[in-house]
Amino acid sequence: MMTDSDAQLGYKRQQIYTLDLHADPEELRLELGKWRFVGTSAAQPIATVTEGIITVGTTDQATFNLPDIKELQNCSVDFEVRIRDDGHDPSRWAGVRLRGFVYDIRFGYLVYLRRTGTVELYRAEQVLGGANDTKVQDTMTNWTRIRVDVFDSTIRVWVDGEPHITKIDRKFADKGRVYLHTFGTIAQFRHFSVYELTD
Amino acid sequence: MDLAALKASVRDNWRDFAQDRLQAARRLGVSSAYALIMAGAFLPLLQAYSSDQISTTVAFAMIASNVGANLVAEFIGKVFQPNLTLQQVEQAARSDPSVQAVMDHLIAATESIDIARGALGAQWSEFERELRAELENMHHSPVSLAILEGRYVISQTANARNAVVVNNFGTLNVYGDILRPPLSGRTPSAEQPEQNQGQQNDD
Repeated sequence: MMTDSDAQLGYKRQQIYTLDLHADPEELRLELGKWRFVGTSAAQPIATVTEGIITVGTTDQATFNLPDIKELQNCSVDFEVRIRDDGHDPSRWAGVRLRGFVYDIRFGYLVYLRRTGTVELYRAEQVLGGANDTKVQDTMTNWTRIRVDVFDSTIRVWVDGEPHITKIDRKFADKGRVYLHTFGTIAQFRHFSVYELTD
Repeated sequence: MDLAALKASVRDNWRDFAQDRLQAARRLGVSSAYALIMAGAFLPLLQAYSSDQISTTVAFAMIASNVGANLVAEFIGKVFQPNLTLQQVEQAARSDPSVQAVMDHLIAATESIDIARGALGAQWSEFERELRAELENMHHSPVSLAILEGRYVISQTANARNAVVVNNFGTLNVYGDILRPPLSGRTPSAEQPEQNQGQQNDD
């Protein structure tokens, strides 16, 4: 659904995917069975779902968790996240990647919540925005709502409904995958939705 | 040696290899398309290492700086050895996932596959077929050839399987693939303060 604020951005936002964590367990099992979950250590399971919350990752690995949707160029993702365990390293994080391709943080645009409370935009060896700007006081108990829009070369990030980052960047102009990404954290996600953006 | 100099050496190597790639492979003592790609990128480092070990390992660590310090250190320990031959490097890359991960990064960083494509011209199609088949049969971690930002890279995406989800008394346990040691071993740095929102980044 497009809102007035979306109209002001100059594009339409059409939801194409939402992960209903409250769905019937069998339906949810089938839905998650279409995802690709990838971890970097032998720790299994990579994720668990209990009471409408998906808990992803462990403190000894990165995870890459790809929903069963097409590659997207102009797209938007919103979700809520909190970090339950950072392995005693508060710089670790959890978030989403857009226009991603291979399991490599150099590709695509990554937006993540660090346990320290910053919400950062990263691409190709560079933090483009959000570093040293603490937005969340308690990342372990409270849910942080993050929205990311990538439209042409403009990337916008909102935190709890408030505009946080706006950047122009032309590094990754083509379509790519959307996925949940964690690094060294046990993180919880909910209300994960993906949108296609059009003129 | 920096990345630009290394790329120039890769181009020189491929100008040479493309004259007769089978003969080049025989001369180098390697036997596969992947090994020839690897040789084109790694031979300059191996040669530099034979004359200046410290500078070469430092330069390599800079070139591979975004792979992850542990992986790079491990790679240097295993592969930068006096008198190590290309055959031994190829064997290490084929048998050790951590060595292959760093090698694949080196191949991507030097744009070696694209350089090979340009040098091989009409021979590229056959070479590409061989390379794809070899990559998909890497026994420890199947990978594939993909195009990213118009450049060839070695990718793991295509071979990931769908998750296995088990309902365990109201909790769904999601089991997935294990990736070989990742290229994304380094956390995004928080060192760069970010004050310039709205500015353009065009690189």
